[in-house]
Amino acid sequence: MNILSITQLNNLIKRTIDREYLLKNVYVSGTIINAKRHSSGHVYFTLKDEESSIDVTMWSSTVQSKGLANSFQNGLLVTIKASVNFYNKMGRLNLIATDMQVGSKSPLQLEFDALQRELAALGYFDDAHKQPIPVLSSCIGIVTSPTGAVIHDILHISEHRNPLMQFKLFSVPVQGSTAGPIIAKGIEAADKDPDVDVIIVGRGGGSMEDLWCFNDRVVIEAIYNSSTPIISAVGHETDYTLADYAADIRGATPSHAAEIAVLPLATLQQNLQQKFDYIQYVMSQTLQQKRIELSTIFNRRLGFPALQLIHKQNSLLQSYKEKMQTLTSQRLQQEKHKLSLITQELSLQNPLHLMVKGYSKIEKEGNVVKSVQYLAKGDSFSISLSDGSIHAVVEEVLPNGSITEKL
Amino acid sequence: MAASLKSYEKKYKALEDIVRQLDDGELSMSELLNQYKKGLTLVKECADMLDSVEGEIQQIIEEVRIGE
Repeated sequence: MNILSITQLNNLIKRTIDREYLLKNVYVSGTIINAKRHSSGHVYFTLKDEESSIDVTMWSSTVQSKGLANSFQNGLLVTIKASVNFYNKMGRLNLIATDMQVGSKSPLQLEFDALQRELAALGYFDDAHKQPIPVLSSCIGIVTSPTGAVIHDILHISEHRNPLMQFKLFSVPVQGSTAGPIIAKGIEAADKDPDVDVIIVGRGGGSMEDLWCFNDRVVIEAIYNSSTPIISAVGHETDYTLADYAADIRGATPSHAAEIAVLPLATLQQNLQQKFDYIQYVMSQTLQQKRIELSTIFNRRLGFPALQLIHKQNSLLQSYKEKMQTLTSQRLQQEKHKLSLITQELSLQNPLHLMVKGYSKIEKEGNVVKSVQYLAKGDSFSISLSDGSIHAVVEEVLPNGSITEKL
Repeated sequence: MAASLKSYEKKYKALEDIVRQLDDGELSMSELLNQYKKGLTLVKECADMLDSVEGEIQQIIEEVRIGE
């Protein structure tokens, strides 16, 4: 038994293929799918017919020299000139294309394009018609096959995000020429169901023919007419059907559709908390502002004027107090002054003062002599002076101002 | 407070009368002393009333501030 290494086997395959002239410069027709242009300029795509497919590479130099830069459209029917190439290191086989004739699109693609144009013109795909997906649904209606991957993927995703989510399956076939009207009925039933908040309609991946029932006009109409928001989930990320254009939002895959329909509970709680916090913040800000306004008005218009009034009254009282003190002490000064005037006057009236000036008092028998008529010649009398008294005798009385005294 | 304010007005009026009498300068000495004493007592009572009203107002202002 001859045991080969992988390298030996792959080298053998490569030599065999390289030697086979039937695999050189062959012409082959098919529909382009999965066309990708690498940044280097090389173009990679898959060519397929109804049953089979093969990977194709066209080097950037060929793309440039043949002017094919804009020709690689998915769904395009083409004929290429190519040689089979085997990469022995990877054990992979592909075609290296050296030329390409662009044929017409496949009949199915042409039908798709025509229907898309017609329905677009009727407004079936208008953004204005699209409804928002509810943030929180309690029940999701799934229009799909009970045996397909869609239902499994959706349940798997939502189980982790929101275990409370409920589902209703609207079981429909998702393939075949009779599937379209049944899918449309399924959508209508889901739309009428009062429990269903949002609808996911879809199926797993497949060929354009497999997915064709999701281009059916009745399906598009049912999606358009649904008052319940619809998420499409048809095929893989690269597959587009008219149902995707008509739906309110397209899920690239069934899992993606589930992510759109079922927000994680934690996220919902967080959103709710944020909104609650924001409301509280706004309320407390508003209240705070109103309080400041109120206290400003209160203080400026009421509190401070009241205090000012009191201060004014206080200073009035103070001034009255001072005035009373001033008036009273003035009055006392006045009285004192009067008193001293009277005292002065009294002292002026004292007879001793007169005697100092030379006046004297004459008394006869203890009585003050105020007139000459009280004295006669020979009367004895006394004269009081400031520093003593004199006893004398009258020699002569002369009325009318002339008195002669005899000492 | 209304009652005390009313009595404040009364006292204040009495104070004004006393000041007027002192201003006229026609009081006897014993009346002068009596009215002066009475006047100072009224000033003190009025000032105390104002202090208590002011205290209440300031307390209200403070309460409004605390509410901010």
